[in-house]
Amino acid sequence: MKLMKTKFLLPHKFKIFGWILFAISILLYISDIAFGDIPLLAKAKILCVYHSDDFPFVKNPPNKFFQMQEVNLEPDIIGILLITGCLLVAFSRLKVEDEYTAKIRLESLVWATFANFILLILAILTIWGRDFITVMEYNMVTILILFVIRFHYVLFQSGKIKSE
Amino acid sequence: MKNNIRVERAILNITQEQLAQKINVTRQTIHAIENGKYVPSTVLALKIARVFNKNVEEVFLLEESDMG
Repeated sequence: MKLMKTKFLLPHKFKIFGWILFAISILLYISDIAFGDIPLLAKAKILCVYHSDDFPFVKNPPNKFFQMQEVNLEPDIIGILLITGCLLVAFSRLKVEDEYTAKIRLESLVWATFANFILLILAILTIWGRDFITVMEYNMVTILILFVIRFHYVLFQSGKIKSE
Repeated sequence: MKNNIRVERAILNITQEQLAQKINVTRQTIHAIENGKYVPSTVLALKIARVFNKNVEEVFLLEESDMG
């Protein structure tokens, strides 16, 4: 079957890998909450391009460049898995990608961008103090998650209509 | 814009799904076009008309509201 030409979209088979990465990152996140750090990852010694011990921002942070440091890799791995998973799910082609699904895709992307930043503004107005960093952490992926939900919801809705 | 896709399908006695497969789109796309929720590209309109062996203007028709 001839496929519609699309720019930037990944092949359809990447979608399932996306869901797998997404699932792994969620399981790691839950296990982190339930059982605490995974020792091997929590005390990893790696070469850091940039490293600063102090948080939040101090006037004269002990900046270190290109040094071996003991760091907690777990949030990094969860973050990368989650972002990669979401990107693959969001931007792999559908089994049949045509001009109508491309339109739904674009509309969902606009919708998700608006929804994401409206939620962020609400959070800026309502959540105060250092915990706002948590909002920013979630906000790294909410735009993709909102897009995936809305895109698939609209596809599902238009698929439900019975052919007469 | 209105269209006669439903009528033309009835003449050929094919379902939305069968028409969709002939022109490599989803059934949802045909459904959305038939119900006026989606205006197809020129290429897709030409492909649909070809299935029905008609000129595109026999299948797709401008309405007053399009003339704004």
